[in-house]
Amino acid sequence: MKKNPWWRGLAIGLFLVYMLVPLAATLLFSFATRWDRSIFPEGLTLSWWQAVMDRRAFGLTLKNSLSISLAAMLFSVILVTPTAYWTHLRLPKAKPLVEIFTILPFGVPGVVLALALIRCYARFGGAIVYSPGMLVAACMVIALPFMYRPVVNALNAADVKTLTEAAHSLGAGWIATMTRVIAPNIMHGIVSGALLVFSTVFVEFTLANLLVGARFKTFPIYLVEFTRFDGRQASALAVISFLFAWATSLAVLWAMGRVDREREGALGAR
Amino acid sequence: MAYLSLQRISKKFANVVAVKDFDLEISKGALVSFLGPSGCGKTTTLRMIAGFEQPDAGEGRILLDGADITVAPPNRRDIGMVFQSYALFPNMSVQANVAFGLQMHRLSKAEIDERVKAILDLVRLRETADRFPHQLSGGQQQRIALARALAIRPRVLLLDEPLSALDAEVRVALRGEIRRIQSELAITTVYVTHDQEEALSISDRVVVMNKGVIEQIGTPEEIYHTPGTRFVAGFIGTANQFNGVAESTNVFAWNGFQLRTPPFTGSGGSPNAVVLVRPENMTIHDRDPGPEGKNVITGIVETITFHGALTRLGIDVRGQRVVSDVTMGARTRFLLNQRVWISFLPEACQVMPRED
Repeated sequence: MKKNPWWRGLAIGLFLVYMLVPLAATLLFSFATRWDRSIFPEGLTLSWWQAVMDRRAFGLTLKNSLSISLAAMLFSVILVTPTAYWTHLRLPKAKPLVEIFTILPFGVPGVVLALALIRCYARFGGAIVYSPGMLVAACMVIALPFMYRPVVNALNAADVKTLTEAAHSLGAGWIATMTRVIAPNIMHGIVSGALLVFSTVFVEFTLANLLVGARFKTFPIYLVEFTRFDGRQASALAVISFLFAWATSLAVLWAMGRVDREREGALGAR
Repeated sequence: MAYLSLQRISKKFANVVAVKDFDLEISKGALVSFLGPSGCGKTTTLRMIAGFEQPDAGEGRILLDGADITVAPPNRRDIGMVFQSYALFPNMSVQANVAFGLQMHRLSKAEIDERVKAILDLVRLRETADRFPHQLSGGQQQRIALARALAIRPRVLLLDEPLSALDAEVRVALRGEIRRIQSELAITTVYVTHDQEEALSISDRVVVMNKGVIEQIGTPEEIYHTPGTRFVAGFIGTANQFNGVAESTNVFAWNGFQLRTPPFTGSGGSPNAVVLVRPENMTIHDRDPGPEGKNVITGIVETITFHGALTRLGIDVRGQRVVSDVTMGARTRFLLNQRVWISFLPEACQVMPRED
């Protein structure tokens, strides 16, 4: 049997083209002086990058997006992990119901969710409805499936019930069991979920625009504003946004890998 | 006085009875095995002792050292548990696994270090302290699991089929190890197994269970030599069961033969009884040995099965199968379809009532 059939290389090649061409084009466009009369840009410049980064709003919106994403990520981990664990362990019959809840956000468009939240919480006043806190909460809802699914997969892969019982029999309470035994053993699921939440929330535009808008401008709002008057500056921002999400993911994965390596390294030769 | 006492505990799962009116007293330092087929309720009972399952509401109580622990949470019972699947924490080294319980009991670091070393010495695995569970063999993992459970100096140690996942050689070695450690520490132990050889070889007492109820409690010798019920007789070892009709208190007619037995009066007026004879208590002859105070029956050899130290013959005695063991040296004397005579002493027979 042939080890590498030709179609395997072709499939991978097509996939890479599909994924990389838009990115490369956006990157190239952000450096282009003019690119509407020829196949390749007429010249290259750093001025669009300089223009977007020189503005005060650049740092501010980046910081806002970062804080919203980190908060949504943190609260998702804190809320979803124990819930998934408890359902898995104590309420297995409720699992199908929880699964339905977690895929509901896929069926509700961001606009509908934002308007529903505004109508529902309007009675508490604008300070609450149009606050970054509400945005974090709304983002957690849309990112719920991304957090829940990897955690559940990790729980299914580990023998959580027996590990829990072993910890209890050794005198551990629920918190020690969760933090010292269960969480480390489903850490890959938690990290995957957290990264997906972070990236989803970092690029979330609809909810941010409708709930906080100009009061708490996020990076995607800033980016969309640029698309209205200069595609090249918007491209520079899109590339920055992509690099940012990518670098965050890599950083977390690197940290996870280091934990694993330390675990293996502590053992000496075997 | 009983150290661990189970009083009339019952447990149902969705209307299926798992354990019914279970009564047992275990004295301090004893090793008691729960033995029975799958689904007999032995693991459920163990889990109720551990606190992972609650007995059904009612009169059932579990007392440990005089205190009622029926509803105490598992982490407050001071009961160590060893699981069939080892349940070592994969994210922790051997050292950290063993230290975990001690940290939960808030011992000082120095004391934890000292105890971890001592207990790893006890299970003879000190050199593995820095390894992780996935780097150990199954037998080593189970010894670490045992060390981890023992490190907290539990009042009772529970073992749930601890050797089932191991291969035969390791199983035999490790069960000896478990017994050695248990005796050394004189720790009250409950051992669940479906393997009769395991139960008989390491226990002070064996509790044979079937369908959620206790069939018999006794020493391994009592369980083997004087089974209390037909279930026990059939489950522990092999026993020929002759459905006889009483001719007198110590003579039963079976299949045209007269079987002499110890006196039996327990049939409640019914003339029917079962005469049990273990294969190893029978002797096989190639010619009629004559009665001489023995029971003698005759039949044709149908099967010969080699078991290593002994060979088991299946003999057709007037349409009914009788099994009997012979030692290897004698094996060559018997051939398939050969007529043989089986003799056994009346004292080798045990009589019990027929349930039909």
